[in-house]
Amino acid sequence: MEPTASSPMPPGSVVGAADDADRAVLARVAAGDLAALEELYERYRIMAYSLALRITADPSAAEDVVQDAFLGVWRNVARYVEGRGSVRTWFLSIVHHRAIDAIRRRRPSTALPDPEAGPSPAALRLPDVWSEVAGRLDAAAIRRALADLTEVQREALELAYFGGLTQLEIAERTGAPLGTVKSRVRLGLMALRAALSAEVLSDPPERSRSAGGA
Amino acid sequence: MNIVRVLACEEVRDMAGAFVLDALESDEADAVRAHLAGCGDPHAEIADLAAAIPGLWETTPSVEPPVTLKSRILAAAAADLRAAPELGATPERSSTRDRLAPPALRATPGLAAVPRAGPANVRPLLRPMRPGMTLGWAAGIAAVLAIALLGAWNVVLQGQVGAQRTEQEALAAVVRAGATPGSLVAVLTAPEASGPYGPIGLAALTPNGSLTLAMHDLRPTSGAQVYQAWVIVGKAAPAPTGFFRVGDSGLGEIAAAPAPVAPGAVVAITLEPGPGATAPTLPILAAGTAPAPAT
Repeated sequence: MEPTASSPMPPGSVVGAADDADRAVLARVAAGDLAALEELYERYRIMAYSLALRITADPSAAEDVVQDAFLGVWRNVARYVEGRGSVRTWFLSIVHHRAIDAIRRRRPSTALPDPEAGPSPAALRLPDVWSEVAGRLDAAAIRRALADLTEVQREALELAYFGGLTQLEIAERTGAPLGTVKSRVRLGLMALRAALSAEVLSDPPERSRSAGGA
Repeated sequence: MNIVRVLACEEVRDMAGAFVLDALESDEADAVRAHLAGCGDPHAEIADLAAAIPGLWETTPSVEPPVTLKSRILAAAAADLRAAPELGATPERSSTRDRLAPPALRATPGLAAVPRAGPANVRPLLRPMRPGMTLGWAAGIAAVLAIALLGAWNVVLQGQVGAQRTEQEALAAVVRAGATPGSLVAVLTAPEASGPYGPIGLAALTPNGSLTLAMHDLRPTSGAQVYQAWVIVGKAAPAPTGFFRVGDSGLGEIAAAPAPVAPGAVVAITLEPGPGATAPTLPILAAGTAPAPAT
């Protein structure tokens, strides 16, 4: 396990050698070093493409998202602010946001994805091939984290993060009140974070509340 | 006409989970960012919940991208370098970029479709209207900056948004920061000598020393160049309060030192050969005075 494997990276924390190396690469990107951009691409191409592909379910759209994200970094590297999270978190959040934008643009603003017609986002589970995407977290921690989620929490996180649905759309689609969806999202994230960081939260999520809403 | 919604801290906490998942409507996300830009509360709950996101990545199967993708990206980046002119030849660089970039990267044309809500909301603050502004904020944009100098998360999160939404967010952030009690607002304009198309902007100084700035029509920086923001109070030496680069798409953000805040403070922008300037390099590209708030 790498030194940072057991804990997620709160902004401003010391995030390990990999992040230091990332920052060094980013500094070279800022200086207009094409080789540094290539290095960044080699580091994150699989993570970026895998995430974009899962969200868009369209290889061509996923390529556009990844290209957009890398060139966005190339042209706007000053937007990365040291001390506010790792380069990896920053970059993948760009990929995620652009992928979500892409799928939302694809559908009419008034139309919800039809659960019967279109593919639903893949279930939250540890994939057979995961290590390259993971990069940092170990499999046992992930399994624990996913096991900690209730079914409705998993569904809410899937639909939001990979399905591109807003919380209101999730409420409409699942038939749950908006407040319940918010609660599921929040408690799901807290449970996931708690399991990933393997820390005992002073106020652990109450599993029974998550299904009924709060 | 939409008005950017002003959120209470409790509402932001309520929306935090959906916010970190990109699961808010865009106007709601704008409102959260605007709140974060001007709020004294660091809203640690957002960072706390965002820390779960890497766990979601792990559920994604690894897929190798097509081998051609790397060469496409590197070719477009190399074209940027070849096309990068000295400051002053921006239109050529933009047009080169637009030819080479995929549709999603054509930031400048995309900005023409920006909803007018944000710009319309702040237009009353932008008097007198300058000749270059007659087409409105959404047309002919060369640079939009959102600089939040003390916000905890907004810069990183703003980094996620596409160029099409950033203008609105930048202005919303300034309006929100300017609405904070005790805040000062300055309209930045270029000296008359620079003609009608010089940079223009809006800055808000909040009592905790944060400067939120939206700039319009700043040209992309090249090499080590940076734009430097200064705040000048009375006869004190100009205080450097942050520097930033402007990318080819016209976007840039950075965090820096707290700004001095006093009625009558002058906010000014210069172009410096590199970071770390301790005194402004003339000319001043744009400047404005923050008068005492109306009572």
